[in-house]
Amino acid sequence: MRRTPLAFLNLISERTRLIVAIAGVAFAVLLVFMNLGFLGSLALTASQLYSRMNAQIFLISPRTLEISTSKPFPRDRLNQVAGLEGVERVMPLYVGYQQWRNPETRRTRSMFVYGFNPTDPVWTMPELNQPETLAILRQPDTVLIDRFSRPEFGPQTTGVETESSRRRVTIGGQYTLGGGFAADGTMIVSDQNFRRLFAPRPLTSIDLGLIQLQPGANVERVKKAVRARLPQDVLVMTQPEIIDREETFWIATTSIGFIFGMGVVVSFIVGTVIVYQILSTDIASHLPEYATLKAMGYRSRFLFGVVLQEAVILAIMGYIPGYIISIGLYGLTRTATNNALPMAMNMGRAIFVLLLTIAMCSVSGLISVRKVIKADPAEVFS
Amino acid sequence: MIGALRTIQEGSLKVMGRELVGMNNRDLVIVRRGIGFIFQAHNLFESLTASQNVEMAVELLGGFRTKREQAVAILDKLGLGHRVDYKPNSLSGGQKQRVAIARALVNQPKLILADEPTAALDKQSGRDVVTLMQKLAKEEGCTILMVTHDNRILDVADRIINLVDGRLESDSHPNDFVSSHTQDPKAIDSQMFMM
Repeated sequence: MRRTPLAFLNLISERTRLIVAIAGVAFAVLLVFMNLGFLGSLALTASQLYSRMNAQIFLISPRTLEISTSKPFPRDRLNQVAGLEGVERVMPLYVGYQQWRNPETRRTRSMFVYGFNPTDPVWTMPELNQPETLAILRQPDTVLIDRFSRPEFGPQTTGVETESSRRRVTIGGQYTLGGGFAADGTMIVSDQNFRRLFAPRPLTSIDLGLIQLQPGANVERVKKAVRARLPQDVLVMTQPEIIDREETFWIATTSIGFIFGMGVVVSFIVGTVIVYQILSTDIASHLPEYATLKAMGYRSRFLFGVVLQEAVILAIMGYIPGYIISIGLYGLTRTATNNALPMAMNMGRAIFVLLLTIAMCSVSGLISVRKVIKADPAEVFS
Repeated sequence: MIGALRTIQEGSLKVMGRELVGMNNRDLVIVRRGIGFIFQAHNLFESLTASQNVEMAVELLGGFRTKREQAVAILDKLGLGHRVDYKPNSLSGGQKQRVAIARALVNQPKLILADEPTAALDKQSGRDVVTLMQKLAKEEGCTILMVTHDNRILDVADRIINLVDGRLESDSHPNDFVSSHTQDPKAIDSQMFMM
């Protein structure tokens, strides 16, 4: 026979209070999940652009903070390293903002544009590597529009004509990428069309240099060789490094990262207070009983354990509904943002929040347990 | 103080042969485990059944295998055999106090301290409770030290010590024949009223 599960029985003996407690914990869990979800999708949108490029080493200007505010650098930097051992090919990428006019409402909005040479296999998405798609891209003033662009940009049907920064363009097709926090919508054009749209900007100044390596080449060794060959006006980074740089920019140096980081902290505190309230009410109403246990010869450590157990049980009981609702809200966010915020649950976050919830409840438990420890067994006699 | 609930700095207080003065908290807890407590309020956990409340006391001494049988047995003796799985709020006042007594008795302590056990009870159930206490004390061979204002139950006592304003007023033996085999503690808290 096991020990009487006092903590559990105490908790379930007052249904209403238990439900309120679970709702409180679930709410805190939900808040933490949402904030982490935003943070995570921030990181994900930062990384998914680079992970969809067919390159292992990237060149960018040191003045570039993140892709949408990139500063151009000479295309010669790419050509300088094209012949190095291990390099398969080098590919320039051009980016910039255009004023896209919604053909229906005539309102304009900033659209983020990627320009690349259609002969280069820049993208890993199969739909951008079809010969027909590349043929469409080569047509003058023809663009591909991101399906994840916000609806405010208007219809995305092939053949729709509109204005992009005072130039007449035609939608030639669609692709799926998502602009994340930097852009509400994106489009892809050929380098020739990019030059037309961004005239007088020359194609000799590029925003991102992509270096594709030969199969089996050692990324670190080639990176060293590239670094040695080039002057300090460009940064040489591997794919994980540039993703990390982009994530760091969004999470560590923008207010967006701060807001959601703060959100996690605040939710943690809210949760702690809620659980503290529940636990301390429970303790206050059971104080004579706890004192009796002490008089009977139970040590403070035992009571400590009971309160902590109650905290952990609350944590787990609140976590489960919180988790389920969060998954629902993630889906809702994806739909509402037209998939621009790829919020999704992952194992690491689920476990992290579970541990955080347990920590949250334990902290509350530790604060409220002082009352029990101080409970004077002699007082129940008076 | 007799219940080893407070650390004592001065004087001398011996309970069941152990000097409590100067004892640290750890040892006090061990002394407490050898004493049964009955309070004015029953102080039962509302969330636990009668049996579970009693089992909490058995667990203290580690009787995990037999706790259920022990609890049921003692509740049975107190006439609560049919109420073992009831929660306190579906028991009457007298029944609750009897569960509390079961909890104090289950570990067969040599000493039971009872603080106004009948204060919250009506005459009849108060009577029943103390009669049961007396009967079980005889069976188990333990001492009950009861503090009370309730003069309706005085006749069950073997020895009555009357304390007024902290001073011993009298020490009498209402039932002559039993006075010899109870051993009251030598020192008594001056704030206690023993009648």
